[in-house]
Amino acid sequence: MLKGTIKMELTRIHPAVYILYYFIMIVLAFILRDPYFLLSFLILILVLISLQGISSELKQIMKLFLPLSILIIIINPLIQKKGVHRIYLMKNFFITYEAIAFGILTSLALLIVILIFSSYNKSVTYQEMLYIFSKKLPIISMIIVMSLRFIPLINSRVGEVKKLNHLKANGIETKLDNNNQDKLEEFDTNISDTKFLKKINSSKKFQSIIKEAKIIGKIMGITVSWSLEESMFTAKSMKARGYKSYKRTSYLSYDISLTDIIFLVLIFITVSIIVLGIIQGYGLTDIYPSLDFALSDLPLNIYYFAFIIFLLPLIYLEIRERMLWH
Amino acid sequence: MIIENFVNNLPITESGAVASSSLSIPILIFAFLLVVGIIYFIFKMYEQSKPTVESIVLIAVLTAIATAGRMIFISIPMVNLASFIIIMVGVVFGKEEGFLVGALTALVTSFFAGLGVWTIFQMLGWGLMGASAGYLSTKFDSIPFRFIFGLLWGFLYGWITDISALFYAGPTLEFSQIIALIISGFTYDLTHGVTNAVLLAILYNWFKKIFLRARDKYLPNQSSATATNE
Repeated sequence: MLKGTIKMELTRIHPAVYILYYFIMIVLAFILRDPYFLLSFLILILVLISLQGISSELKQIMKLFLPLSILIIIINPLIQKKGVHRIYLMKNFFITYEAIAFGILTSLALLIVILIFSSYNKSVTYQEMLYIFSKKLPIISMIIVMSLRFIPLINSRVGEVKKLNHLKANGIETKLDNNNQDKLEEFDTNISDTKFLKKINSSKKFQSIIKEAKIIGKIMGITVSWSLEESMFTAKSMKARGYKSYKRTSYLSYDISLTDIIFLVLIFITVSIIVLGIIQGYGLTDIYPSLDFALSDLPLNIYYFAFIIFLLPLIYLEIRERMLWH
Repeated sequence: MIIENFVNNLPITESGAVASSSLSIPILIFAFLLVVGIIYFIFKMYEQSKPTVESIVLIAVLTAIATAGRMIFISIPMVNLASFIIIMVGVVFGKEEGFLVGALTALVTSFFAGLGVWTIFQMLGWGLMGASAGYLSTKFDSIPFRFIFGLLWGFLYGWITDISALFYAGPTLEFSQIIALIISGFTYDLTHGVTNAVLLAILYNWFKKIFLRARDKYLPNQSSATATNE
């Protein structure tokens, strides 16, 4: 269930470097507003994702993305009336070419950010994140590790309670059933006498919802009290074995390697060139008040090439890994 | 009209871009770092309070329960038990535990469901949900209050997580995108709110009993302190 728990890598990069790199990518994705920059961004990210092997998740991502992007593309021209190039749909009702272009560019950026995150989830495993976390917040990362262990336990307990509930509902264990049901339903006798709930109870739709909620609640409640009782033993056992008596060590460890340094230098150089370009207005096509964009305006300048070089290292590493294996 | 005039009179820079748009990027980054900072500060506060082993295990279990509550019942569409558990934790254990369990639930869920900008805002949303339940814990005995609280937080949580969408909106913050988000999220927020409200109305007393028992067993100091306050 957990993503990327096992990673075979010949070209391992320090997780902190990864996090920095992805953070810069996201910042760039929401600053840049140039069709050429965004399109090449999208293509390179798609290449990276296909190398990382994500195609099954792409479907789910599109499910999330498509309705939102359609809404943005439709609503933006209806509300936004800035822009010089007007398209009249009716006599007094117009939309502007600029507003449509803005909607499309925005949803493109949205798609890029979503793709960057799915790529990030492939590159950095949760153990690596916890490794960085545990340096500053040891107790919190301890809690996270523990709850990651408790989740499958609770899952199996819910399964057992569900089975028992199913057996009881089908009339097996009839004698015990009557006694236990009375006890379990104590919680709804307390509230049935208020006016507010009488009103709700009269509606049939609400009744079915409440019935459903009661079943879920029953299963959940039994599981919760069971888990809470059991975890007390965990706490006692931790105490007995001397938790806190000396400092905990991490089970993963990373050193900064030469690859990391080269990577960092590359990021630093290309990002500073890109930032210089952004200050001068490259990569930011101005949409309002008038979008004057021609396909022939190829951005053949150093800033664009720096941007492309900035996006390449991970693709290079992925390809090199493949070459080494085959 | 006023807005239109304002937009038309915005200073135009050399490259033609509206000057205010370049200002909003630092603002967004600042807002993001502020949220990260707040969450980090509260985590650090908990670390520095030197919690007992029982408290650590308790928070881990409650986080696991809330996370499981979000994932186990995935077959029933849009039923989100996590919020209910987080509110109950806030009410019974206090605002700090409520915030921690809320924020950590979002973080742990993101290990399964994928991490994104939204994770940090989910952490904030659920954290505030637990903390506010802790602040208002004395009022939870009335059913209408619980119902409204649950319903309201369904929407508030949706809106807080929608803030993350501003990061996709680019340098010019557009009103239309916020409206698109609110429309596309309305049914989800409504179901979330109604589920919360119904669960809080029906299961409150039972879960309170379960959690109170755990509190008395785990944290004898805290429960005696609150008992004297009450």
